Amino acid sequence: MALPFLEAMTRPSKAAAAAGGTMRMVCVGLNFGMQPSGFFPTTAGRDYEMPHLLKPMEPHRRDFTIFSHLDHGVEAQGGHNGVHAYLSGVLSRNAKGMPEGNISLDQKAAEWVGTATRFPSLQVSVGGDPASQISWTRNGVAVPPIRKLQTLFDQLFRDTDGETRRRNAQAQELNASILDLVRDDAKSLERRLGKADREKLDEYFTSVRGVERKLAQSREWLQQPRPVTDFKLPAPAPSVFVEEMPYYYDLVRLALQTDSTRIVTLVIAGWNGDPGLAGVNQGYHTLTHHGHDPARLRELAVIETFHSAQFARFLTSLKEVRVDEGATLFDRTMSLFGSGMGNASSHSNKDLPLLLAGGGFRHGEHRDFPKTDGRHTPACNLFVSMLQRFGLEVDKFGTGTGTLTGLA
Amino acid sequence: MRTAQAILILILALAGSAPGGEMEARTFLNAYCIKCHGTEVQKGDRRFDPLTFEAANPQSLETWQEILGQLNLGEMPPAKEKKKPAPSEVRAMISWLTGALDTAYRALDTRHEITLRRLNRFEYRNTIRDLLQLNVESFDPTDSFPPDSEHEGFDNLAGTLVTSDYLLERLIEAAAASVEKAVVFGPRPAPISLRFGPGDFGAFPRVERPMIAYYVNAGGQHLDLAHGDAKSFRAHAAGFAGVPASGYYTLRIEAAGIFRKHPYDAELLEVDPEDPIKMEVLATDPAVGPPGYNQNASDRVLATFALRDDERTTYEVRVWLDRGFVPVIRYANGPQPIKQVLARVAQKHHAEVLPEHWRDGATVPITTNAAPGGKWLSDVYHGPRVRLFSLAIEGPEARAWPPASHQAIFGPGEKSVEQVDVPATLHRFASAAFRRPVSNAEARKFADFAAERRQRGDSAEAAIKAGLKAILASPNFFYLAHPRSEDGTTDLYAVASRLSYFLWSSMPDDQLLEAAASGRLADRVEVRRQAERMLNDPKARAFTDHFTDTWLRLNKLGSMPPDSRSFKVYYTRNLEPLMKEETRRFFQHVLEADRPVTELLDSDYTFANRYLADLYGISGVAGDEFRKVTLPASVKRGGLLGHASILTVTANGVETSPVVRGVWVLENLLGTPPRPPPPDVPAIEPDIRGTTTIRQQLDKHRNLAACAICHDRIDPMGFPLENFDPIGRYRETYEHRRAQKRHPIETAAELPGGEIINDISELKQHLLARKDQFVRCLTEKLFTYAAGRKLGAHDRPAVDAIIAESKQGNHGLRDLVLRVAASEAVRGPLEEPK
Repeated sequence: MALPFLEAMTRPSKAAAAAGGTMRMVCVGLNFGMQPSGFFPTTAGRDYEMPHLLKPMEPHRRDFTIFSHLDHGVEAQGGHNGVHAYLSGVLSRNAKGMPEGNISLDQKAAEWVGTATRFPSLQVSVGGDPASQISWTRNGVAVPPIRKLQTLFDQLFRDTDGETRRRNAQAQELNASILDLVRDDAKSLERRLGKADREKLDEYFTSVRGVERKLAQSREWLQQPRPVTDFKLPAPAPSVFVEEMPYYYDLVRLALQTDSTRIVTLVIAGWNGDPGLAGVNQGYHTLTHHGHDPARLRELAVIETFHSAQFARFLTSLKEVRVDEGATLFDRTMSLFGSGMGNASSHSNKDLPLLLAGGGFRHGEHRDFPKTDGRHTPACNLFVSMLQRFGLEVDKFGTGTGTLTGLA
Repeated sequence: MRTAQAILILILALAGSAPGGEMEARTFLNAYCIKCHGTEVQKGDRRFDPLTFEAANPQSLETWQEILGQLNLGEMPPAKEKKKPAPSEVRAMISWLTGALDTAYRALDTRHEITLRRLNRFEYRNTIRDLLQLNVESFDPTDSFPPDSEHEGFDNLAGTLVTSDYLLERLIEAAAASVEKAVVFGPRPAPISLRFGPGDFGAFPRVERPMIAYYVNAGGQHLDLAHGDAKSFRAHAAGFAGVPASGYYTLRIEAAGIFRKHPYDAELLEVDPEDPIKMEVLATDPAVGPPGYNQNASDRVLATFALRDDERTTYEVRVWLDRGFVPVIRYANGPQPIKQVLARVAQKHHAEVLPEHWRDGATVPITTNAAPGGKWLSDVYHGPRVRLFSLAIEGPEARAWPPASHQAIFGPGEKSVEQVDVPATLHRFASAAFRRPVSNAEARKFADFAAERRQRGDSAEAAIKAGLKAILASPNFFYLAHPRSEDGTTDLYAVASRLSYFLWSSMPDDQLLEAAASGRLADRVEVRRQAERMLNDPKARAFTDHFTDTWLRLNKLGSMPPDSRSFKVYYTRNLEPLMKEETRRFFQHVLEADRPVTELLDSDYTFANRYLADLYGISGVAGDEFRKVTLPASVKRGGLLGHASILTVTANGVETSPVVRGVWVLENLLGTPPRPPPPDVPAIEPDIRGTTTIRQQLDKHRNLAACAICHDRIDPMGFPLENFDPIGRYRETYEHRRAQKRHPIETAAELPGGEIINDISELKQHLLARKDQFVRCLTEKLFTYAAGRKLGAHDRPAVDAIIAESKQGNHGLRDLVLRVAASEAVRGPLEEPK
């Protein structure tokens, strides 16, 4: 996979970026899953009845697919501590035994995009525990997300003034020369180490190379002005979950539209205090422990329907953006909606809620992958299909064994 | 070669040990064990038939060790098994296996092991503090570092901690930020002495109508803060841009507590009228968030004052403020959320106020755009508040100039940048940063680097700083190498570092480095002497704090926050830090007084302040100060398992689970973590509609043979703790919001051996009876933490020796820690394995 990356290292081509053939990827990850009986249709195939939590998705029925009985298998069970494997299929503690560690879908794709866009990928997280992370690099490190609307906006659209840019350039130049020096220093340290420790120090050398690559990338982009937008965040910025959420999706759409990045992960982890949702009186986490109490389930449904409504609105907004003849941003974007939590009420990471829209796939179905002969279909097969559509020549990813049967 | 040697030794050892040999051991296994741990059945996922004596690999040794452990405990073969070995047979097997294993351990090769480890976030911050003499109360150079990976809770293990390009970028930034903060050329900044009155506070110096959340009285003599919402308004001097330089400042605040006794029902306000009105003073960085509203990441509590009622009093505090920070003031224990509280008060007590002037619970009372006529809630409200008259700031104190951080790099005295001897300065700094003498050749790289930067156009100051930054970005700073060099010699500087990162989570001090330089540190007695000295140093708090954080997982408190509606007191009284404080004080006490470690399992005392005592139902503890509290017999606390911190961290914020708590006990107190659940068993999905309790659900679970093996061990450790709710309050029934009746809690459970544990007291008795196992578990945890790596089979003899020696001192905690400090965990193996 080194070749596409090197190609990407050459000048980002405006023409290629604007070309419709370019694929994008958005992965929405819910912290607490979706209540299974409200998410999975009862029948497979095209004419399923829309489950009640997905009612807002009805207008897009022909443009997305629901997957049943996909998950990351028995090794990836961990309750709340299993959610972080949503996009990797591999718990961080099991990363060691895997050829690519626990690299996540988005980071795998981002490696391939390289310097073609200002941001190889963007990670965004709304509310909740800062530790709830779904983006992992191949060396097993979580990529910290942006956690504020304003920060996200600034990253995308706010150009620094000339003086700051000059200072940043200077700092980067200094950092590059420091890297040269410490690499040399590390070599002298290496000579004093035993074999196992020398291998451990290899992480440091790999990191030095990684930073050098990033510095090269930002040097290029530092001189490029950021795109201009007439989109404005309200002032003061909304602080209530319900009001914030649409703006996050708007900025994600704008990030794609301006080709600032082609890969976004959006973690929806919850909120503190009042979410501003009418009919919700108890905490999100509390409600996921509903114990089948009808009143709690009702409240939980309000929250989860809100999630799918916002996602539906996002899809609509993608459909309104033309990227080239006959194709919209929706067609050129794989939008994944789901969670690493299968059933929050039992802390199960099995049977993950997964739904994929756009990306030029043939949609409109509920695809069920029940266990046959005790063998289950890895959710990572879906990710292999997505990576291939993104342009990567891979036939394996995470715990995946191939592409997902029937998804084309 | 080595493996072959080890195999040979094991074979010889196994064959030669009296009274039996390999054949007898095989016969024993075949007779009593293979039935359940053989080809047909593998209970508990254990299989003994492939355990040949030739397989002297660590996994095989682990299994042998497990067998030995079970025999020692008398837990296997199970009590209900008909065919049991005679006691003499068991004794023979134990004695033989013990000897054989010991020989095998000593023969193991350790060179495959990763010992090179990087500093974690906690250590990095402390090291920057000590190396640069910087105050890091508000300054955290690691705040954008990714979280450190953990293994069994520990975040300081060589193999587990990873370095990534992302981290390296942050590391270079942190180095730059630290150097920029530490180096201060130029004249001493002029001190300030400012006084702010009510007119200067906040973004709303005048409002047409007083706001409830934030009052200014008509005459302008004072400002009232009437709410405890952390995320709402707070008072600050609006025109004050921040202190001009980092240093110590004196704050004087004139304030009074008003309306502590108010005319309203106490439960409407949910504020305890017996509690004094408390004023909290914070430091915050306006560059991070608006000081007058909400909280932000730069907030740090400087002081909390219990205010005198109705009496204007000056409260004074001396605090460290970083450059640019401002003080802000809150009503720490005021009513919150204020809008709901006001709506309740208005409905009940102030019918005269027009509804549109207070609205409902969803809206803050509107105070601007006054509609004509009618009364405003804010005119008539007499709820409790902090009344603020003035705030004075004075400083920075005229201490030594340049600041300590600058002198730590450039030596004492004031000199201009041109007067600095750059090569000598960088050489000295590199030695300090690398925690060992740095050779001339090594130092020259940094001096050359600075000179080159200067030539390429950097200013003299920038060039020196570049050299300093490069030193802090070096792996020699960031990594701790192993004490044993490849050539077999022991590097005493590395021993010094290992020791200080064990007890201080920071770099060694001059005395310790001197002991390394003189060679004294090669002597085990000297290591212990140094460790003793270090434990007496205030920096040893890092050990208590971080070891309890990671061993007991206290650092996970708050990651599953308790439900704010069901457990309101957790928030109104901010119990989380108090819970942590109790456990830290308790551990610190056992450590300082060298009390037997079993006191961690059971004690007749704990540490508490009033809020925590309230939670525990203990009366007679007043005030915010923690103190040692003797537990009344009626309170079933005492020992770690009675601590709210542990009971909270083993719950999920909503409900409790005997499984989670049971696993916690097995993992952290007994050192026998259960295997993960078998793949195809569905997890328990609670159902609160019917009458099913967690006990009934678990009983169902245990009826499956695959589950029973582990749950028979786990659940009895957890059920006795069901008497404590998700924030550690005592309870006797389960409370469900909507359930019609409350289910009584059954805490009794039966162990596989038939022993019945009825409640927490009996659980503690049970654990005390397994004291040896607890001592071993704690010793292993300490050893792991000290060595900074996972425990290996080859560590067994060292651990065994510590345990045996510690027995003479009745397993005092301090003695145990000192023994670990003087052991191979810190010093590395003394000789090459033969």
